[in-house]
Amino acid sequence: MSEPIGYAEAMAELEAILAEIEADDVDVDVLSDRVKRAAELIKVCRQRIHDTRVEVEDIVAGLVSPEDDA
Amino acid sequence: MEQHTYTVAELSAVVAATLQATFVDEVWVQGEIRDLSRARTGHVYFSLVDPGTDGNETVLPVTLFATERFVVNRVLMRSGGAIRMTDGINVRIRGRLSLYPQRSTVQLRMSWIDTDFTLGQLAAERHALIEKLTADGTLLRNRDLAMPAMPLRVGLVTSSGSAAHADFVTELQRSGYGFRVLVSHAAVQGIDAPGSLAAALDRLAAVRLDVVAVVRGGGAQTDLATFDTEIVARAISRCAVPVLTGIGHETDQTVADLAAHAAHKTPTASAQAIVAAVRAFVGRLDAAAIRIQRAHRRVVERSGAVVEHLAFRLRSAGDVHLGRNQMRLESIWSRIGAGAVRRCVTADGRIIGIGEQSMWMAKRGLGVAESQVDHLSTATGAAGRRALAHAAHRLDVAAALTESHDPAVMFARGWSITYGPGGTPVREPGEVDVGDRLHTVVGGGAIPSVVVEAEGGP
Repeated sequence: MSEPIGYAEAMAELEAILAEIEADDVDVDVLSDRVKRAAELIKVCRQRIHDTRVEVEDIVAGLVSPEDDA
Repeated sequence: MEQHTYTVAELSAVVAATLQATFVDEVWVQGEIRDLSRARTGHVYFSLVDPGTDGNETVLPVTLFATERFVVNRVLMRSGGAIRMTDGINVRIRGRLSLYPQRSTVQLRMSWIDTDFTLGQLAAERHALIEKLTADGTLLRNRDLAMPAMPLRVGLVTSSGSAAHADFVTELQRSGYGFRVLVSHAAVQGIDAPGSLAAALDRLAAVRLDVVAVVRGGGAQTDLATFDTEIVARAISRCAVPVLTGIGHETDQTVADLAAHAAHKTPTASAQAIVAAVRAFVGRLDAAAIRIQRAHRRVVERSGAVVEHLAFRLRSAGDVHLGRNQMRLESIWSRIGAGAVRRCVTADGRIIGIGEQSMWMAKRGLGVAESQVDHLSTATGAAGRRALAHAAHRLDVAAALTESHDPAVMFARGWSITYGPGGTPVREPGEVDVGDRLHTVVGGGAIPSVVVEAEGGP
């Protein structure tokens, strides 16, 4: 399973962007770039979370039968 | 005397009688259950084993007939379902010794079980194991791993196809998130269960996962003995990713629970914990998105306010300049007006032409200046301010120009104007004849005169 960006890394980058754009002295041009990047990160993460269904795969199959207590 | 020779049947009968005489009542015996089987008839057969100190086992066959089984099951139920007779557990049981005639083997016909013995034994063994695993750090290793931000790749160690398996997967599916579940089957009860569980955990080591769940449906506490074993605790400790347990019990935690990253009571609860971790991440994503939108909006609004403020300051600066120039123009205007009125008073209306001419010139200057000011009032920025200063200078020039044409200024310099008999200004000598009455206006007033001699042009 490929993982283009780690989720923890993505979140860390998002937090850094937030700290930057929530500062009082943010430049409007810088803001535009950062917002674009943040939107991209959020989109990538959300896609990975929602775009696939649960897959279940057995690596070893087998069953046990239920039994009595005594 | 020749010794008595028994037939097999006679000997068997004597041994049986001796057994009966020696063990009049039922006896208590303790040992480990081994090779337990349940017959269709309802009878249960197993061996009670004493492992011995030097590897020499002693084995006693035990039979639990269907009638006594009913009683024993009730005793087990009274212990809260905590014990289940299965291979590998130590029990203290009561029964009657007898000789099985077909094989001439001694066997115990079981009638009762001491549940406290088994529970106590389990607790003591568990306590000793916990001390050992605590001392060597096994119980802390998995606990200290960090939970991944988004645990979407899940290893599942369980009895494949069990209710626990279904509960766990169903809970993940309900979340709507894109989990990938890799199931590694393990026997979760019986004497082979600990080895099977450890092997199932080790198999997952080859796969890239975010988290592993070890789950089992509810059951007797003796089944939990599997989860109180050293081999399982060490396999959990070896896992490179956090292990969550959902072993399905209400009582004390198993050793596996203690070795795990986090212990949950049921398979569903452990799946919910994984879903919650993903949901928390999604929540952080959503919050980040909202904060980014807000910050963006705030900065854009603030930038707009800065531009507005700049524009306001520019307009104010323009208005000040405009005001000053307007005042200057008005001053000129009033001075022109005053001059013209003065002339009107002194010249009985005939001087009005001069006033009109001066006014026209002043108006022209004013018009030029006003158009410049209008232009400036719409300009912004440094260029606008420069243009404003330039316009102010042009206004000054216009004012000076206007002033130089002021008749009052001209008369003060010694100029005069002479009107002929028709009341028109006299521009050359040929316009008058000898005897004409003239009217000359100078700075201080008017001088009437009569032409005594006409000279033609200069």
